[in-house]
Amino acid sequence: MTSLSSTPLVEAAPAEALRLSGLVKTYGSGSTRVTALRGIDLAIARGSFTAIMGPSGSGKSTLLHSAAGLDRPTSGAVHLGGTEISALKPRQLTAFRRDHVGFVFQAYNLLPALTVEDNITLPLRLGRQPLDPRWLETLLEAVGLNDHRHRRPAELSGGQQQRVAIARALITRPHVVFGDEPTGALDSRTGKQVLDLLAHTAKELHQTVVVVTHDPVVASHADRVIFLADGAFAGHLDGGTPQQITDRMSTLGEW
Amino acid sequence: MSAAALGLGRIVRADLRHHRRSLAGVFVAIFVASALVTGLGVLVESGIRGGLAPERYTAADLVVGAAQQVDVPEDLPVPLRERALVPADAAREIAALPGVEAVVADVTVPLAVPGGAVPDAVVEAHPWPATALTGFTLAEGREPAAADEIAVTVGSAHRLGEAVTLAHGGSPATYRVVGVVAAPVAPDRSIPVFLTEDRIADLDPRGGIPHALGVFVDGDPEQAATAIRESFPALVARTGDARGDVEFLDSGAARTLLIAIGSAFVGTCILVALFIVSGTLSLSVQSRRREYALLRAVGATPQQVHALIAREVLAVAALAAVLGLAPGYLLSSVLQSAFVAGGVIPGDFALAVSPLPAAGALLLVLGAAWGAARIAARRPARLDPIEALRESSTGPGPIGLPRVITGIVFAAAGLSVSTVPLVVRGDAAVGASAGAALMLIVALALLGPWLVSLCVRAVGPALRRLSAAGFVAAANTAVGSRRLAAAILPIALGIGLGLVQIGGPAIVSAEAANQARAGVTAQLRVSGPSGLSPDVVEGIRDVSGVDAASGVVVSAAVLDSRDIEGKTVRAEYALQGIDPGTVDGLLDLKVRDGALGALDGDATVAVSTDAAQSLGIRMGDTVTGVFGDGAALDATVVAVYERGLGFGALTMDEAQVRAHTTSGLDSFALVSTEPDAAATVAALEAQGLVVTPASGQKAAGADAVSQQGWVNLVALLVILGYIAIAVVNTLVMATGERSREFALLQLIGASRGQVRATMRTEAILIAAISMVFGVLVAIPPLMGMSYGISGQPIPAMPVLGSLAIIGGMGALALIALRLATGATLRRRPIEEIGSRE
Repeated sequence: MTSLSSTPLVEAAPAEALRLSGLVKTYGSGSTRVTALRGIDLAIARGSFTAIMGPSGSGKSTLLHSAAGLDRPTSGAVHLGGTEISALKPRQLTAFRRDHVGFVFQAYNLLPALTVEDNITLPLRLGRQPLDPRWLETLLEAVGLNDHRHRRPAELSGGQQQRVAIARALITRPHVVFGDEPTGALDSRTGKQVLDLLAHTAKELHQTVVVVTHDPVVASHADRVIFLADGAFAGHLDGGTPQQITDRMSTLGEW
Repeated sequence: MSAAALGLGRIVRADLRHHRRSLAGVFVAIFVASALVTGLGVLVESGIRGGLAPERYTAADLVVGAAQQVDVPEDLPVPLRERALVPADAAREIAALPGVEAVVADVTVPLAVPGGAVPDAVVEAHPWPATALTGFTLAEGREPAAADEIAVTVGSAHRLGEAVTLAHGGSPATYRVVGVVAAPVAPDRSIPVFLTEDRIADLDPRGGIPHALGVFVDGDPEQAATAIRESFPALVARTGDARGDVEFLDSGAARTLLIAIGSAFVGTCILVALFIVSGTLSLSVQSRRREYALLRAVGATPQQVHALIAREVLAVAALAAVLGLAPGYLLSSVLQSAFVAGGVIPGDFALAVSPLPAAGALLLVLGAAWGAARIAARRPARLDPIEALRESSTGPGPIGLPRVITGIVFAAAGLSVSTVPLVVRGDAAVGASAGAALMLIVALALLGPWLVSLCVRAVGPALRRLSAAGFVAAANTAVGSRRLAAAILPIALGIGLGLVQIGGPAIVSAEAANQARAGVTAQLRVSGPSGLSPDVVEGIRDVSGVDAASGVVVSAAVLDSRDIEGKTVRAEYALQGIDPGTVDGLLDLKVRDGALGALDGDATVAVSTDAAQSLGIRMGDTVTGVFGDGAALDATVVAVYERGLGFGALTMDEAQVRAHTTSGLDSFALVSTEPDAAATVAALEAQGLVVTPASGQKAAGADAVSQQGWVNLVALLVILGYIAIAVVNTLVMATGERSREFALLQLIGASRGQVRATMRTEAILIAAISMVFGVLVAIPPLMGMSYGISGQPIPAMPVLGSLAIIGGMGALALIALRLATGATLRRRPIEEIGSRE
């Protein structure tokens, strides 16, 4: 088990956007118990773009869900933007997630009944927060969907839909944006566009981004790649090329 | 665009626009509920405010009568079936009140025209002074002065100076027409004739005691009515249209029935609406589960999910409820016709129409919609987002153990309650069967998906080998057993409920008819158009060829008993009057204890085994209550007999019972004759009597039973109609969801015909399983009831009705799926497969 808690990535001083301490997640009980995470320690600095990679069954999605406050860990603590979310009650957790976390799923990110604009502002609507129209314009520009703001998801391509999802994830200026295989359902060219966008926001908007992926090309966009195998850390790689990442993955065992 | 806070309204409106189709089922269910509740509300209000307008009492300012109902604590009053008489001195005392100008007593004596052109014409004879009540004045001739003088109305076929023969209770008398009267508005319901007061007092078996008093006042009739009510709390005083309440006996009973039935129906409708709306809503919510999962993930609280669903539902429900109001008022006339046809209310009963039912309907229906929304929103609101996302891709898992256990408990309870009729009799037995059916239905609802998957697994292998369509159908049903159960359960419910609803009364009336048939050992039944007087019955005995003749009176009594909590319960029981001295060999009540010979006077009574159990009494105990006309009844049980369903719960000496009926006459006479009776029959008919074979006797209380049966039938049709809506909606929605599946099949190479064949196979499977489940649910309660009531394990079900219910509900699945499949196949497969839903 490698611990990274003492290795800040960028310049000193900014608080860590995300810290995991001794995160353990098990399912079931008795003879059918499955341990998905075996005690993860992790710190992610603000403004960084991190990728979590691992073969299927390594626990990376479980890690993401726990870190994002979508699931409760069995034991251990999760600190997001300074708040220990693992100690929050469900209602508070929901509110925290709404106001401070952005999430992009692989697919089915949007409500089919709402327009692009309404989908993006959904978290604000749920939180009864006021909308800053200029911020909305900025986001629409950033994702390149200004002309499509009144369209419905059914009229958009897969890549456009993911870009809307990213804009929604950013509208509340969250502590962290999490992505679960955000480009998994897209072709390579569209996927690259989406990834560039994610990396760009991380830099321009000082936004922290954490994505889970099994695609080395996706991972190569990140500042740091963290490897997971069998629910535990299996090393990291900073600024690697896709080939390096692939080689590293193959040493982890089954692809 | 302002920086103001954003609200959920935008989402609600967008959802409504986008998911119109899935909310259509909710719309229809609420629309129908609104119409029904409004229509029933009109009936209930009519029970309170409506009635029959007076015909003969139109000229009197107000009318006073005796109370025609028995009050029951904390319950609706029980109407009295026989005319209660006004105390003799009341007329004098009322006349002494200030402001009262005159008091006129009215008595009604039914007379019949024997033979002649219209053999059954019945006229009502009143004392001459009663002409003032309608405003009759002499048009020709003079008022009757002698006992054989009569005055007729202008419309009568008899002319001044003619002789008219009219029979009272079968004994004829001849009168001479001495006067013809006319009124501004002639009565419709009856043909009045007028005799002298003395003659009326002679004819009337109850001595000419007033049936009602017409009061003429100077000043405000309503004030006078209040004064009379205060001075005579036991009497009823009515003004205006309410005078019809006193004039017509059946008006009061009809009002009570309308209120009771109307309210019960409204309750049933709301419950069924709640059930159906929450069911269709659950389907709609289930089909949008991914959206709700996403909302929860993005940060919607459970309250916000509840609010979203509630607002969507209320928007749809409000529109549907308002649209249903107008049809509801139209429906009230339809319901009225149905009740008139069933003999529940008289045909000319006027409905009271006001905006109140509409307001009530809106409140109740919207309340039900809100309740249904709360129920349906529980699932999406409560799930953890990750659970929700996981579930949304694979569908809900198998039903949990607590649910299975609860289902088994209910099934066991239902089966054991089905055996209650074996030990308990009477009303409790019928109630137990209904309760057992309900428990089994709940068990079916809980265990449904599990049972369905069992059936599907059993049938699967055979289906697979049948054809390509069968193969696909088998695979689909194996995976989608929950979807199948959602369609099967309402149909099975409808069948089970329907069979029990029509079976229960059928069993009771079949047994009653059996008992009536077996218990009548006389050959002939002799009656007159309005009853037989005791003299006539005596005369029958003298006709050659007659062995024995005995008069029978059919009436009712209201008895007191205590329920489990010790509260006083009053209910109506059929009361039969027989002559214990002459009834031997004519009637066999299958006496178990005591002897009918002990019936003497009004302090002795024989009860049936059913009544004994309902009232909780035995030989030697006392029954208390009132006769049909409200006079006190206090009698000791001297005999217990078994054939209560056929002959009535109570039997007393016929002279006593007769004294408390409206006409004071026997209802009919049972006559036994020598083997060749043709000459005897002819002789009897020559007297103007009606002779029928005794075996055709209607069971006592059969009218009340058939009324109840009608009401049950209408209720059943309502519920089945609702279930049909739910089933069609379920199937259409579920099929719509599978549009991509159909598209895929067609692109792979299946023809449209094969896709239709697949769906047809599924439809047949659904229909077959529902029919089996429905019948299985109905069998234990019906068998229990049949064995308990008639000793036969196989219930006497109406064949046509049962087949109609089973076949009709089963056909529903076939029709609905046919329509849904046709609609879904309309889009081109290649477009459908690319759709992003």
